[in-house]
Amino acid sequence: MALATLRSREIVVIILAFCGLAVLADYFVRIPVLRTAVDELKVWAVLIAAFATGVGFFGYARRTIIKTRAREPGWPVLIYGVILAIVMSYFGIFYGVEGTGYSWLFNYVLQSVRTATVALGTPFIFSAALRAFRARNLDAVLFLIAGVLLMLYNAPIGEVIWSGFPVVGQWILDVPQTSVNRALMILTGLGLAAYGIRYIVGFEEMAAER
Amino acid sequence: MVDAKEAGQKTGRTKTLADRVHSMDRRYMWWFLTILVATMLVIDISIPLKIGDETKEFVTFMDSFKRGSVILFSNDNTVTVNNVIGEACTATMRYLLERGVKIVFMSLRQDGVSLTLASLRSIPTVDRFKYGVDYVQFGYYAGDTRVVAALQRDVWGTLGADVRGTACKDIPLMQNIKQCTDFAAWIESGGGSQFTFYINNWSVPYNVPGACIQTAANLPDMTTWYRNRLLNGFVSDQTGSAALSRVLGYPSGLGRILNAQSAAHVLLIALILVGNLLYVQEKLRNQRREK
Repeated sequence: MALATLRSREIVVIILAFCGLAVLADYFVRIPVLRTAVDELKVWAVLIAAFATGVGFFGYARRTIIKTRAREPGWPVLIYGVILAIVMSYFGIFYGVEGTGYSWLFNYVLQSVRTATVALGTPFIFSAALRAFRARNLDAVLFLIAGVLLMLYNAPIGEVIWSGFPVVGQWILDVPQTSVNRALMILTGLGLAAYGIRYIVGFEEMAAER
Repeated sequence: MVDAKEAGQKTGRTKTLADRVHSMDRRYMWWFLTILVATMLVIDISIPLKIGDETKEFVTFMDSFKRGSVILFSNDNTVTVNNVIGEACTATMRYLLERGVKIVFMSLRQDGVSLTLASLRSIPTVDRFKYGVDYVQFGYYAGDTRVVAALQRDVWGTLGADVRGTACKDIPLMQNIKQCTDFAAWIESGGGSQFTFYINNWSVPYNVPGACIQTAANLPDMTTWYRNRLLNGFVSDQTGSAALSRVLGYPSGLGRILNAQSAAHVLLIALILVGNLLYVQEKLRNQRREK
């Protein structure tokens, strides 16, 4: 009963409205008490995010146990992931990130594996680019021209082929791209502000309702 | 993979060049790409390097810091991003430390802490600088923009303790760093939009200037903020990293990698053009056939 009350929509909306409006108000008015409260709220937000990271690990471990019990495909990989997470955490917590164990795991295992994983994706990027850059209509032609020009702008070879490529590439970035991006930024900002207000006043679906 | 013969049989017409190319075993392309990149990594063809205005401005920005001033370096690189812009990060750290600028390191990505350590260890003159006095390293902080917002007015409360477990109040470098305006500037490196967190939370409301080192994926955003005068220069991708090393006079290990990148770009463009020519040819042929 008590838990249901705590999860009730009204309480969640009140907490959100208080936090949201306080942070918003602090941006426009300077009231010392409000400022102290907002500063505290911001630090709490960081602590909650850190806590969520820990919760994420326990969520992963729980999922691993469930899938392993059910012998679902890929369960050994999940167990391997949990073991690695525990080993990394052990070295990180007890010997620090500057310690030999953590540094060795990072430099000689994680770094190599991640780099190899991304490198393996290169053929797929190549393949996807070839498909995306097919001149099917006018939009695709414009996309193709801009893409090729920017590739030649970005790679040093472009200037060797024709000294105009960097100039054209810079123009694309400075004029059409910047103007459109500015418009998008303004629109996104307005959209986010509207969404934030709707969320604060409880018009949007909340996590507690799911 | 569709066989060329099969492709022709399925459509019930003669195989065209386009059919043959589309049904070609793609492994030939991957092998060609691999051999091309490997060749470029072995043979130095010395393609001239352009140094962009934004890179020059990035250096001018670093030169504007007074000796003894403190800056925040948010190393938000992941391992893969670090392969692209790690050299620029190391060069920036070295240049600033050697000029007497003090650096507070932190990270909004898990990998950033270890990558900062690796960068610092690779600086030949690092032993001249004292930890806690010339530089200090804080850890990874989850929460992205919330962290940057919290740092606005409460640096000690947000950062807590450094990677060695020393509280802010006991670190000599942190004695006068209580809020974001106590930093002379911020420099952010990464492969995402983290630099905009600093622009939105530090530069716009508190006038703390900043610059960034990012991958080319963020070139459009960086250019826009640079033109908005809220970024004081930036370093983009491997090209920018190599250019920065050259401007600062440090050795660069990116020359051959850039050659390989150039070769891969040219191959991709050539394949795109060939693919489109065949596509247009096929389209025209189909139109003629329909008539």
